[in-house]
Amino acid sequence: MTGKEMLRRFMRQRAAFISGIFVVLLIVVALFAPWLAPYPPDLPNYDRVMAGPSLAHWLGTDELGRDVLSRLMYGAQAGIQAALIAIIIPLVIGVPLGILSGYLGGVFDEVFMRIVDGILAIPAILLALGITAALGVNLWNAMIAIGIVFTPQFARLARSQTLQIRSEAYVYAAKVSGAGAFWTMGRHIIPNISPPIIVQSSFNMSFAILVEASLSFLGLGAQSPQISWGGMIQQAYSLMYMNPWLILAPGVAIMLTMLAGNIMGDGLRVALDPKLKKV
Amino acid sequence: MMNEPLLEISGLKKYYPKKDGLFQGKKSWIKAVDGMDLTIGKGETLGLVGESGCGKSTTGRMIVGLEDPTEGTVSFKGNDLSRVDKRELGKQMQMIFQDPFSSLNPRMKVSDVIAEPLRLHKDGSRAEQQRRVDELLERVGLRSEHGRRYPSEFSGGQRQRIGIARAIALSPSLIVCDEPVSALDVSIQAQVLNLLKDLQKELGVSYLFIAHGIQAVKYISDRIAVMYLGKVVEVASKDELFRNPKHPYTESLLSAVPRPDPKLRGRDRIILKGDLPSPENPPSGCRFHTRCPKVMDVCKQVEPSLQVTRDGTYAACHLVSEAEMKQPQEA
Amino acid sequence: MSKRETLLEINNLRAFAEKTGEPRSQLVNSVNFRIDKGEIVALVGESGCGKSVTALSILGLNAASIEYESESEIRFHDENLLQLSDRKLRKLRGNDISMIFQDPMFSLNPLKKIGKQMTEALLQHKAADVRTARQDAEKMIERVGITDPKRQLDNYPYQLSGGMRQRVMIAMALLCKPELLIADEPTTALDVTIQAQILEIMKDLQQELDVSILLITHDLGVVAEMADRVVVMYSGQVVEEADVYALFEQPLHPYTNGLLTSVPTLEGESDERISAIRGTVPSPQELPKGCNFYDRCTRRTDRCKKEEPLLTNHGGRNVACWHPVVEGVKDDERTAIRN
Repeated sequence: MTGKEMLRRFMRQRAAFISGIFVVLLIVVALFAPWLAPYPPDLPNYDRVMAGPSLAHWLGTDELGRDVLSRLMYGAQAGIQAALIAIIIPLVIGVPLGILSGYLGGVFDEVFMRIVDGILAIPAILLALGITAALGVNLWNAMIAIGIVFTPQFARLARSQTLQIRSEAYVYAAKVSGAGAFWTMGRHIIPNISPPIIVQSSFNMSFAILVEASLSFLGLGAQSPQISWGGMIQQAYSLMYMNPWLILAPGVAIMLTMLAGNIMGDGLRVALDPKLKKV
Repeated sequence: MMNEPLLEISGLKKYYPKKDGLFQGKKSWIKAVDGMDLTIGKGETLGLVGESGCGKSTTGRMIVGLEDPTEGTVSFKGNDLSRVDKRELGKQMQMIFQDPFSSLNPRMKVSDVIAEPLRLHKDGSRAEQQRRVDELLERVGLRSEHGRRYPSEFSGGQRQRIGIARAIALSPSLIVCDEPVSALDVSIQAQVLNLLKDLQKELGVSYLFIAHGIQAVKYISDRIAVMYLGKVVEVASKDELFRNPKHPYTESLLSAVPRPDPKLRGRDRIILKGDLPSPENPPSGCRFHTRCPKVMDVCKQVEPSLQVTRDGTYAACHLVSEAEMKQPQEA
Repeated sequence: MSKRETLLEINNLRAFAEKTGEPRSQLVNSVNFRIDKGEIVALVGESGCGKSVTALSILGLNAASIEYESESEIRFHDENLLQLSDRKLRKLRGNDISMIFQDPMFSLNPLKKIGKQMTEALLQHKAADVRTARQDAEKMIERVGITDPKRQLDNYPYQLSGGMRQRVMIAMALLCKPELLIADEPTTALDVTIQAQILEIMKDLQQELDVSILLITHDLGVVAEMADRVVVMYSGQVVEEADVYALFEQPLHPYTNGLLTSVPTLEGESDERISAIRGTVPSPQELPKGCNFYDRCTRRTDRCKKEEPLLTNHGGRNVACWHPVVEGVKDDERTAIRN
């Protein structure tokens, strides 16, 4: 299946396609927030404190009169960064180790999988808390923590997929022809295990945004003055009884992002799987 | 038919460990192949038949180096394969697989699939490889533009042709065909069998043709080896095997094959009782004694060895050795 | 052939699958045949020819996306099975018509003991008490050649070998004494020696219980051993129907002929080449206008390309072909045969 065909299969699923556009827009907004945002996010305006939506401020202003929309746009930066780092760590560490573990088998696999089981047994948030406690509280460390939490999942996925592909007849055919481990992994295993890993990445990136928001809400993620959706919720939370409206904007932003990430993941799963022939 | 042997197998065994429960108390072994001797001549097709679990596929996999034997040797052109660089083996030996759907990487173009052995052995420049791929595609009855497509666009029979093109790319001297037609429709099976026959005539390649479909084996083979529970029980030229099967298992196997002729109904058939015993715990003495219609007392205790009979076939049965021993006196 | 009572009659069965954004694919097109009481009819054809769709439509087990044309009819006891309610079909299944599959695990519940599964079926349809149900199950399971039936009834399906499972399946299928047994490739997954056992048991039981069997298979050997009558299908259509002896003696349709000559025989020592049918089956989305076999046929003419041959009587047999394989028959004689 060609890349073009995959794209076509993806675009034919309407919900997934819309979600994909949403995710792309989110990334554009985060990247170009300094140009796109109508106001500097930290500019207080004491004349318009906690104003409702208006033409000037589409999503209103917060307790210091800062533009909520602009803050939301800058907040997306923290979320996207978190998602990227959180996914790069497992892709760079977890996936290769998982492939090796599945491909080599034996003692290496035994030992590696026990370590993975051990990491998986620790609750994700607890592990993140521990890591930020050890490395210091800031967004980077929080993201690294999330990445470490994801690593065993990806290692497991890569391993189980590798085990499956390893016993396909085309892998044997390559071995009979004299293919070594690197050839087999590069030409047969990686191309065939990538689709599920791409799909998992999509799910985990949206989850990473949620975890980042949770950590920031708990004060363990992005630190002021860096803006994050979690941080915005935390501030709004203290004012919930005075202005419940403020909590809505970052809340909905997180929800939509999660939703889009998951629907897009599902769409990718269908688009990349040659066995699900018809879309 | 037998000129110089291309491949010689002697005392070949493959045992798989079987884990008992969680804490691996006593270890038991599944004896997939349990002492096999075979030879394949140059340009010859040796058929290997037997029922599922008899070890015929494991044997094929050991020959091409996909599995290491527990014991015994495979020697190819006089060289012990355990001492040969396995990567170089691909030029000499190839394999055709049963399932045409799993034997081609779904993410590779057909031309890349066929070119893989050439690339692995850096055989020629890119352009030369492409020419060779086109040539191979046409040789197996496809068109060169088929190379630009992906495997999913082809039917089972066409995929099997692609697999065959890959197998002959490096002009090997032996191809192990592991049930190459049993997943195909009847009308397509004949096409593929004919293709394999034509290729052999043209390239002088030897085949080890592993199958449970006895008609196909008869059609393509020069000699046939019959396996039962990890052992060869009979080896004979195909005409001899069908005319005069020596081993009671061969006899019952041939008689069990449903014939496409209703007038043959009601013929005397040997219908074996019971199931195949487990290869984990094969019966004592002759492995076939639990199902053999001609079982004798000696069969339960003494394992018969594979012996050459008067007409040059080999059989592992006490009845055969008895008859053979009487022969000289009669003569 | 003595006239026997007709048990099941399939008339003009046409089924198609339609998916949005895709051309509609004709799965089965004008299938007509009957099954008499106590008869074994073999339905032969290659994968995708529509034999399974036909069989499943008898039991109403096809996927919901498959639709039948309105004139399609499957007559069984004066009822059109295609129009029966789900509730009535459920009552029919296992009781009047039962089915065995290639993979026994398809219809055995892996989590229940064999005995329990068998007695449940009996209690559901034949309303006996548990004890007699158990006894019936035991008898039946012994009948299919399973030794030590009492112990085997307490086993789970995974504890049995492939051959044993298929025996259990047959026992279960025949437990309620159905009038029709549909056997879909019942021995394809089995080894030759086990296959011979199973076929023998099926034949014995068929005679003993006087059940009709619709045997679906691609193996012409199995057909020749088992069937009374043979229905050959090719890409959704019945192309030939004949008594088993007549069919193997002289196939009339070039496809049947091709199938028979493409199987290597065990007789003789000749090394002669088998004649394969060239090409592949057309896709159900793009069937040709004339005969579906046109592309692969050796006897084709222009007429075959333009006009679709219908199943017609040809000397007491049915064949759908403009140029049937009858050697030595002159043209004027041939028209006489076709009346």
